Amino acid sequence: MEVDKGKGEAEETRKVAEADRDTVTLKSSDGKLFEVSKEAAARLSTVLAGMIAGGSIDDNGTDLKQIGSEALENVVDYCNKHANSIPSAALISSSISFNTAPFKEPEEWERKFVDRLSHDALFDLVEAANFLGMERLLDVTCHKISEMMKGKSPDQIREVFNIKNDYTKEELEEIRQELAWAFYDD
Amino acid sequence: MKGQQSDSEEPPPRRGREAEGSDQISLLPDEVLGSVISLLPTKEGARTQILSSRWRPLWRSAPLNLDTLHTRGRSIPKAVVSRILLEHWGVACCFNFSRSILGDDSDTLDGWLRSPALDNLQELEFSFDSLDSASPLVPHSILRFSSTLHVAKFNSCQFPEDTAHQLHFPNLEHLELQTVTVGGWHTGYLTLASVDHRTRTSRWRMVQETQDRGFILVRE
Repeated sequence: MEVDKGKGEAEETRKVAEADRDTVTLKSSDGKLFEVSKEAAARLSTVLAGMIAGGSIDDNGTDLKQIGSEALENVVDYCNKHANSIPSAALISSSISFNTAPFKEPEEWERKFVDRLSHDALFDLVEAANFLGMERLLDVTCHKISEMMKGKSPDQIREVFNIKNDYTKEELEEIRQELAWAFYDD
Repeated sequence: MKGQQSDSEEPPPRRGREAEGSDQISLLPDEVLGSVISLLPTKEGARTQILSSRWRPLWRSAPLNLDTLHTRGRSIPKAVVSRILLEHWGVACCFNFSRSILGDDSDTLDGWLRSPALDNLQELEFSFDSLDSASPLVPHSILRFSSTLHVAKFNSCQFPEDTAHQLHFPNLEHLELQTVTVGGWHTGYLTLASVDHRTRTSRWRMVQETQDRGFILVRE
């Protein structure tokens, strides 16, 4: 790690200033900057919470090299919407013990939030949520994906998601026999 | 040549577009796909194994959502339930079943409840036929879920008398009891659905109530 010796004091002042701000600045892989509510970021993302608590937030934009600007914009949008909406009791309780609490249905605004996303944007957002340890956003996006799969045959699911069937005929037959119980739908 | 497709094609995907779109879903980490799978109805979750070899091992390690009560079409046979419980190595989120698949086989029920696949079970539902004369006894093994259950639903079954004072579910959010007896005493119909989320931090304990010889839930 490179340290600029002459800037020690300035660094200190900057850190103090940073601690006073109620937003944090995040930088996408393609260099775009986004402001997000510090409170919401810390509450919704275990990774950002850790960075904020550990003082590793950069005033000029904390680098998130794994996340593109479109996904990061959605992440920030989600956090800010969350900060503005009065969290329901269900969300409060799920954030207290998200490791043990069962899945909670998305709220109306969360549903709308993911419904407007394109296929690509949805998957980029899932990856960003996973990377940032955003349990709730991950639940909401996974719920959306499961809704896209529900009621569809394996062939239809492969079509929707461009999944390539790489099984041989024999393998398919074997699985189909093993899972015969799961194919009796009518 | 049929392969040529114009860019202005309408949104519903059609056969033969694999070359154009990439398979992003299969690139997601196992845990994320596991969450997606566990949100599907049981049969549909299991069927994801046939999508491609990438999906083959996922269902078994995904959080187990074994719902034999609300399945479409034919019910899941007893032997299949036993096999699923034996082979699953994910965490358990939901397990429910009815007498129609179990019959009077209380040993099998006890075996199911003891299977490691159900460790840390969050949601449990027993549903037996209320028209049956003898309602089945709930095995003692149920007590091992007391600290992990968030949702519990019991219909037409009886708890052994010595469990009455051990039934304590600190994390319970939702409890439904219908025609449930404890120690052979009828409770009548008692349904405590939708315990308010705000009361979640409070503790509820099942206690006997003398008036209707039943038991109720109280907040401590």
